[in-house]
Amino acid sequence: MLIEVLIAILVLAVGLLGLVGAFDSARKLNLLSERRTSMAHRAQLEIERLQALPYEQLAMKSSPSHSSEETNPDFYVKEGGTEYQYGAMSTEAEKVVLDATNGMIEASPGGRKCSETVGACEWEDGTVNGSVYDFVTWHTDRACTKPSYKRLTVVVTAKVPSGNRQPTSVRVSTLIANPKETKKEFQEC
Amino acid sequence: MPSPHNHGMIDMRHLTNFKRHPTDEAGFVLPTAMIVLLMLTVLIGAAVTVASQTSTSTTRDSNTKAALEAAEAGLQTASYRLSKLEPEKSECVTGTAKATPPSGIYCAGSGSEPLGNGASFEYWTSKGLVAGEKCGGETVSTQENVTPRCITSVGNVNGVARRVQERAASLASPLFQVKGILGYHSVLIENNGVLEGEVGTNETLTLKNGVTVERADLGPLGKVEGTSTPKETIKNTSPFEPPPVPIGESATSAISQAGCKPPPEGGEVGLNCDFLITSGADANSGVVFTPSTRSLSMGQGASLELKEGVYNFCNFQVSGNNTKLTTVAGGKVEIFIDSALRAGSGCTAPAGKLEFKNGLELIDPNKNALYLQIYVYDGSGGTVELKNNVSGGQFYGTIVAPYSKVTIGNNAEFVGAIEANEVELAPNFRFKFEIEVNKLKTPSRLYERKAWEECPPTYIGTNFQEGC
Repeated sequence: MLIEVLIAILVLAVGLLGLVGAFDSARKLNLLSERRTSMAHRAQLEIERLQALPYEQLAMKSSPSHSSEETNPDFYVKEGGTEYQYGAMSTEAEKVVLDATNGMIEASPGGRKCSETVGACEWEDGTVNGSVYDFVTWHTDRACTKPSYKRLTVVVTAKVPSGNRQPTSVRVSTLIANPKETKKEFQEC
Repeated sequence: MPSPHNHGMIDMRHLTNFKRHPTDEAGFVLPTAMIVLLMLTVLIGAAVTVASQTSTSTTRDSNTKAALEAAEAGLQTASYRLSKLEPEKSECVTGTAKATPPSGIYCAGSGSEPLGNGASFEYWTSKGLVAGEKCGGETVSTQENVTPRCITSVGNVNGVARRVQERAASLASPLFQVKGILGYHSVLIENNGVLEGEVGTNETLTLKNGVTVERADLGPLGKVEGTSTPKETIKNTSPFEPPPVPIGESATSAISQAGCKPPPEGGEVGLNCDFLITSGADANSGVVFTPSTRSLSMGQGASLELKEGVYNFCNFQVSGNNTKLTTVAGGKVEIFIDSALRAGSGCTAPAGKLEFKNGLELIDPNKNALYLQIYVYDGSGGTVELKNNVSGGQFYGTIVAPYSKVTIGNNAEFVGAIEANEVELAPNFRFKFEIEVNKLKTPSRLYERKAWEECPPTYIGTNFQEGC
């Protein structure tokens, strides 16, 4: 009888431990999902903000710098800041659109709040926060042999307390053509 | 007498009964624990499932947002290619080329184009839409000078699709970008010219002594030279661009005047009325028109009345003295000077020549620049010359020769507008911009978004229009 009770207690203890573990894992997974949802919202918000800018202002104010950390979006900055790898393949890289005069896009978050700047910035959404990285590159249309319009790539990362699982960065990319392209530019592209 | 032992035995019997209960409940605790454990397992499973579904949903949410941007990239790409390839109204754009729809209004799709990171798009474009057709959630209505088209684009990211549709249109813009005279390369105004209107150029505007100009409208690299100064000078951030010469189908002869009427301002030019010249001209007076080469010349003392219509000549030369060219009252005349370099022109070199020299009298009873429109397709015919003419004091009309040099000399006054590559105006030239010419439009090459809607992401088979 005593043995039976002891075994029952053991079984229940194991079950409860599993339950606690499972709930903890579920909590962590939910937290991760919450962060990724916030990141996706931020990415969409950021790309819509960029799409609203005049075409000529869609350019980096300065060259982005390469980062040696693989989790940092700047890891994909190449050739001394003149190229950005927008895709998984190393061949999927394009020249950065750089215009110190008209460009509005900051190259690095640098502690700037997203509400105060255009381009790379630090974001916060309730309990979630992180960094936004914007890259503007020259895209060559299939009908052209030279760069023809621009690609916008927004990468959003989140900062998590140590010990928490780091969510993978959210990456959104689109193309935007010059609404005032001249006939000569069309012919020469 | 009961002994304490007996009494005790009775109690023991009760105790024995009491002991029997736990013996009956043996094996109850462990199954109960197992049942509780099973319930816990179900709870664990539910918690893990919910968390997992939340995670899947989040990933899908991210992909959904990225797919919308991929679809948007498809719309942008399609608009760019429509603007670059300039398809006719009956054509549309596939991947990188113009094409005619095999059936219906849509061309074949562009094929999947990758965007990186698992994202891709595919689009379909339509030929020019007509009134009543639906696109972007709206029904198309007729609008002059506008070519609406429908673009449907599907963005796909890691298996998640979004489908969007837009109505894009190339809007017409004024044919004359400057309210006066525009020389893309240069404008030279000799001594004492008086211009009531603007003068524009991308490069050099030369104003000799005593020239009066209301306003100079310059491209980014434009400059004013000479000894006179415009009353006002403005500099644009982008250069002036030559408009397409709207030559349309005018190289083909109509068989009746009804078939070659000038279109409404900015409308598509139809067939030509050249045959009216043969029937209306007096060959003995020196008017020579050769239908096979579409060459018209007017010699000494020739006179010709151009009836309402579109005319297309490979060459038009007036070199004889005392000639008279009359436009009909109340009827518009559009003259196109075609080029041997244009495919389908039917002209053979030398072609593209326009000369009005040696005392041509232009008689325009309408006194309205819209009623005589002259277009020179390219510069292959050399300089366009309007010299030494007599026009009863005033020449009412417009000249569009964006790739030619135009020289005008010794006309008393020009009322209308001029666009050419180079413009040279003789001493004492007088010009007045005619506000009516603002009605002339040129279709823009650039397609702009006019309506947008999102369609359900999935569709059956190849019916990419379904649900839009």
